[in-house]
Amino acid sequence: MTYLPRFQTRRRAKFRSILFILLLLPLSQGCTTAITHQLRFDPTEPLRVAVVPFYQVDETGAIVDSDPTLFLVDNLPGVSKELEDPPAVVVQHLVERRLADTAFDVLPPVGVQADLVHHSLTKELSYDHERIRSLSPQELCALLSCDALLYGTLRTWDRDYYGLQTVSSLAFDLRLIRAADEAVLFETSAENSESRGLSKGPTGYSSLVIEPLRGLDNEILVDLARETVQLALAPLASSSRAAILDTPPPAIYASAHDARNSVVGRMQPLTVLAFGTADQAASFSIGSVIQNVPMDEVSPGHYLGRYFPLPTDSFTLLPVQITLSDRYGRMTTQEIALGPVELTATTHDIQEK
Amino acid sequence: MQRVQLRLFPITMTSGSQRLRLPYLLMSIVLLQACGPKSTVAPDFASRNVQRLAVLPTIAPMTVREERVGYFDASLAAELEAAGFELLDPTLVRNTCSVPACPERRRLSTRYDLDGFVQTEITSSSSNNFGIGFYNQLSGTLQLHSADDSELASIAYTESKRGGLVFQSGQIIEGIQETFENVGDTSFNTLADKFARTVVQELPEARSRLLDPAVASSPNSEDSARDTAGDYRSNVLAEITTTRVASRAFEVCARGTPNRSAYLLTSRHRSNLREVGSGLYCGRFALYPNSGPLMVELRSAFGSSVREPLALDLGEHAQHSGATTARDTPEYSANEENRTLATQTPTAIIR
Repeated sequence: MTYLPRFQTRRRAKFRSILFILLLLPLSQGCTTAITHQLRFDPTEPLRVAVVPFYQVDETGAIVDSDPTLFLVDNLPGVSKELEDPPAVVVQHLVERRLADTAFDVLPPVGVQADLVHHSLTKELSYDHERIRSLSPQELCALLSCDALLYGTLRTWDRDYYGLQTVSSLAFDLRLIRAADEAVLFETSAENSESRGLSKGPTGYSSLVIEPLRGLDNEILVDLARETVQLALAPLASSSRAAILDTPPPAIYASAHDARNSVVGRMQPLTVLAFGTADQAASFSIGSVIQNVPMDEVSPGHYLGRYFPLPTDSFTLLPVQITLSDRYGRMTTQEIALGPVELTATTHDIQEK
Repeated sequence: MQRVQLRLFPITMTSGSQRLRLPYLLMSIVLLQACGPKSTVAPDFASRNVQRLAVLPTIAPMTVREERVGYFDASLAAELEAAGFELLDPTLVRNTCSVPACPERRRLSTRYDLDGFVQTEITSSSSNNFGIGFYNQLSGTLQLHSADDSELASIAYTESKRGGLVFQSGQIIEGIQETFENVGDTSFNTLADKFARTVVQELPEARSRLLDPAVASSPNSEDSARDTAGDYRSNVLAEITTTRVASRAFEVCARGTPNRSAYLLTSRHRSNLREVGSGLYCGRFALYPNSGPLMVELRSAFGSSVREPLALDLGEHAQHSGATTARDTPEYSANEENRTLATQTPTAIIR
């Protein structure tokens, strides 16, 4: 039996400790989930909720424009492929899908998108996030016809390659704000990460090289986001959903009338067009003078209505408002952005008066 | 005589004769009173023959959604009507009042000869669900003012409901069922119904002015003044005329009692006709094969109405539901414009 000198034994012990710590470090960073919630309302209340477009921010809080060319690894075949949408939009879509488990009456995303475009809240080919966020919840819900807004901010969407280990990490914040009083009804802050490589346990030499590379796949981050979104929205899940919530509320995407210079002609009817959810009851009103003129659905989602003035009709600069309602009685209204219209009294009416 | 002391409550009771200390008795009375509405009714309410009322928009905190306020209004209106009051058409109130306090109310009372105004303020509404139990409450005040703005009644009340496992001691199934049903708007709607029923029950009975001989014999009796204001007693729909004004566009005119609201009812809409002459109501509409069935309605300011189906051929797809395209609708030739299509005399003209 060979006895090592004491100092060599101590050196080996120290080396083993250091190696153990080095191995532990990736493990400790590899999988961490931290989700905090604050729920301040009854989640079974069927609020009409609009999801405000999400965006990504950096450490300073500045909005990040996702540039696909930065992620060169997404162009390497067999390693990863480019996401179809920016990461913030990916998270937004996952959240929108999860909202189907809540008791909320969620506005269709395409309707929200159309309303934002309708009100010029876009910049180049994207949303003008700064302008959207500068509007108060009351102002924004007045445009979108909602009770509450769900805001989302993506703070982290990273893949870190350490040679023997790849760590995918994700962090986002969600806030549900009631438009009427700007109260924060629900907020959550979620952080999660997933590792591939050494931290997953003993592997052969080839796996030690390949697994970290596989960990660079975007799909892993998307799966991680899906799982994290589910955990983040868990407090809002409702087992009792009214049948009415199986269909989205009616949405009006676009509307117009053909009054030139805001004047309704007596010899020509005023034509009103609307594009929105299909198979709804559509009508338009001119102030409170002309009420609920029926509109016909000439093709799915496309509605046409006409107002024929009576000789005695007259009004001054009244708004034209379109109403779309479904079979459950849910209504959405939109005032035509082209402006109010007027119909001047005829000479006969003036003389009589 | 045995004296029994209850250590839990500092009450001394003796068998054979029970005496409660006065403060505890008073506290019990106060507690019992706090459960019911607090009503203040003017002594001369009954003598004022209050019957015709306008219900002003409910004042509610911003946190109560419009749909809930709408349900509350409907519930209150139903209870008031069941109690014998006649309510002014809410559309007329909505079109006149610029804000819930309705500074324009005098215009309403003059035009429609109202006896008073009802307004409710929801002061608080809360829903507290703590898993094993829940506690919901709705507080508000109903006020009734006369047409000259004097307060006739004020009723403050808090309706509450509690349930769940905690509050259903021993009734586990009921507790679970209550918790399951306490979701969404159901909890608020239940409270709204009970609140409306309780506060309306505190009001004195509605009394028709027709029953008062002094009013019936006065110069301003029902037949003269009320006709101008919109007497509820009769709606006469004498004649309906339909004229084509353009391809698929028709002018519908109804002759009947003056100073009413007239509407064309399609399968999904209620469109107004305008009173173009005394008792003559007209409107022009583009009508499509799926617009039917069509009806004309004449409605008084207090909700009574008469309806008559409109005999109008909208094409071969008339009376069918579903969207149709322009190609499916028969075209009318130009020489058929401005042709009176039908004049019909309703069979039931007085309702």
